[in-house]
Amino acid sequence: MAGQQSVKKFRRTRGQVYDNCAYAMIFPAYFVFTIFILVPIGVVFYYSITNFNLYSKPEIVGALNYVNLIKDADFLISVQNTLFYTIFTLFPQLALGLLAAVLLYRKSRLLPVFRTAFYLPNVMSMVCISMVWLWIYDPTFGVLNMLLKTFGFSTKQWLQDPDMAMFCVILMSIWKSCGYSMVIFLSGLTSIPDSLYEAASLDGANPFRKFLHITWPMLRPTTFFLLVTGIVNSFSVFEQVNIMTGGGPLKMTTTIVHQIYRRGFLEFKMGYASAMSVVLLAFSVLVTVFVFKYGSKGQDVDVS
Amino acid sequence: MKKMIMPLCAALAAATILAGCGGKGEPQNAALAGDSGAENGAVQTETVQAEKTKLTFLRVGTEPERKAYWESAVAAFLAANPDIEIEYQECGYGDDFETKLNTGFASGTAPDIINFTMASMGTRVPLGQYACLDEYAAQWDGKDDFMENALTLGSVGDSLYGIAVFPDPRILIYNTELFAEAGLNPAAPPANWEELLEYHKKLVKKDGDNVIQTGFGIPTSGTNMQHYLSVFIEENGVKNLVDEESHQVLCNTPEAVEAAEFLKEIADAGIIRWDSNNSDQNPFASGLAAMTLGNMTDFHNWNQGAVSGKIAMASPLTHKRQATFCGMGFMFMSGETPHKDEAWRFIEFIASPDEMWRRYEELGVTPMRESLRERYVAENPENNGIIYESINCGTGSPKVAYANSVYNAVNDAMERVMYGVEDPAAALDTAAAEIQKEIDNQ
Repeated sequence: MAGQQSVKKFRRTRGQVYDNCAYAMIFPAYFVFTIFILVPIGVVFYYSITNFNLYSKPEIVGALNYVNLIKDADFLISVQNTLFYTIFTLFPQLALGLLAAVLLYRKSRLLPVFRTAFYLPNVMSMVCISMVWLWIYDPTFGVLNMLLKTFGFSTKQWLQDPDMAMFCVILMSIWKSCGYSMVIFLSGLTSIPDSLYEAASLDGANPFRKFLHITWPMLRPTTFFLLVTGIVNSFSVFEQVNIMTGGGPLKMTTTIVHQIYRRGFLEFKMGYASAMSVVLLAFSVLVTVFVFKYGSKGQDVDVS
Repeated sequence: MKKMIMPLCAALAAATILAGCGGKGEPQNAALAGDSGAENGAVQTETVQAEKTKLTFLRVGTEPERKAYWESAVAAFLAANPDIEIEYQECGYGDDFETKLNTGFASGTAPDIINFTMASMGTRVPLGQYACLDEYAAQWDGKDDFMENALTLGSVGDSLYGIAVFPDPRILIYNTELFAEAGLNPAAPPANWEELLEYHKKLVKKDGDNVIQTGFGIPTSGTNMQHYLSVFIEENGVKNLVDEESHQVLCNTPEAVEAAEFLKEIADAGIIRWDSNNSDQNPFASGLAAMTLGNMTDFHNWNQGAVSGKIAMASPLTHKRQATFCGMGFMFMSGETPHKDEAWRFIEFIASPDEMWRRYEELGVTPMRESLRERYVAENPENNGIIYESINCGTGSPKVAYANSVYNAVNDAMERVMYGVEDPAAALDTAAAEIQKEIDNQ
């Protein structure tokens, strides 16, 4: 009896030591997460119910900032533009990334060159890329208009045309990001067992049917990951908008983060900008939860 | 013992992370000094450095030629003032500079001396970010020699906050070659609205529906549109976008609406759309616009580019009166600096006649002292006289705390007018309502 008690005590002690060790190991990461993410989020929540203007002591104004948000036409336009940007950037980017991955998933000497070329834009600074595309879209000296002139078409005012400006920003964003999707899809493709394709070949399946019934279903977890991270990234679009269009013309390209920047850092309305940030956070969480709930089916494919 | 080691390790890791996040504080400098082999020498150096007052000077703009000037001016000042040390910083115009300054003031690391625009005074003076210079100006012998309009523009109410260094009037600049091609006399630029419209129509060239050359180049979007409207409303007799004293909104008065309608008429006759935030897009620079409004730096830059040797300056237009927009680059002293006397010594040095003339010789900047006026005009009677005329009749941005909201509202309104989605009266009424809302919230 006494022996059993000493064994239990020994196990409990070892367990405690193990737990303490684990806690000590994860402490730095949690500490950084708390200080640099959780606390700032809490501070933003607090500022969102104040009239904070960067310099004077904030006074609590309750839900006034949130009420004003609903009436703010610029904010509502920015929400609409952000959703538009997300939809028209994310799906083409995923489709092109998948296409590139499938085409480049084979053995060839030139493949590393192509893979690097496709992925290169993703590692470049968004600011640099925006400047390059600003030149491409330049109405007078831009490459696009030069091409149009060469083929006898009339030139376009790409970023100055309210109907085209957002599509110009979207095109650049797709170009930059589809390399990232391609790399993630390529890693997903390597995890699909060759035996499935061999079996399908024996059954006489053509490449399209193999893609439809093997590749695509097996890539669902990868697609889901890209979808969730893509949504979050698209909601925070800012640099390219600020550099290429400044949110114009006619606010056709202003986004939520661009509005947060303008209100907070140019008009000093930090309280109001914080309320926008809280709404953006809530929006991102809601959409992510929705995607997790309805978009993550079929992730338990077992081919072992 | 093990129980003690784990929390210690965790605390050490956390401390390392926090230390890594630390700024360039004094303890780090002290540690660096202690590490050096020649400890005595380091201590001596530190003592000498401790006697020096360190100032930070932030100027707006990143132009290489101005940077060269500022660096040489700082070096000349330091040679004459060995007890002062100056760290020179610069940042591009527009939102970037505003953001840098805002974060500096919010974090208690604002520069001691700031070279920035007049437009910033409306917002930053009420916040106490710029120090009042009356005490220093009262004992400054250069005050009586300074251009009166420059001192007025640097004041809020009766108090002086900025010493002018870079006058920035908007001057009518035109392309003499395009004038000649269109059968216009290159020596007779437009002098009033009627002539401007007439010349504009003669200079517009179209390829089908596309405008391939315009007469008067005005932007259709961007943060400078309010400058263009300001010029025309002031020529039409309106004081400014907002009355600084009474806080009455003036941007939707009948005269202001008439000015916006005139700009719309010019746009309808044919313009090339461009965003004033991207100066590279300005069609005048590439010879696709025959006239535009620009400052002296623009003139200098354009004269070295595609339209080199083909451009000239014209006197400000007259409608009900002669007017133009005249911005001004000022030297401000931070309201938070603990080294006010030293900061003033630098500002006084920069505003001295010798430095002003050096700025003219190196950068073409108009000297702001009456004693240099005749000498300046004599140097280049053709252009310098026009520049002086523009500075004298120029009015700047309204110096009000809600100035940024005024610019945003007017820029948005003019963008809607230029794109034809709203008529000038309705657009300016909307802008006025937004500005009034800001005034009410003050």
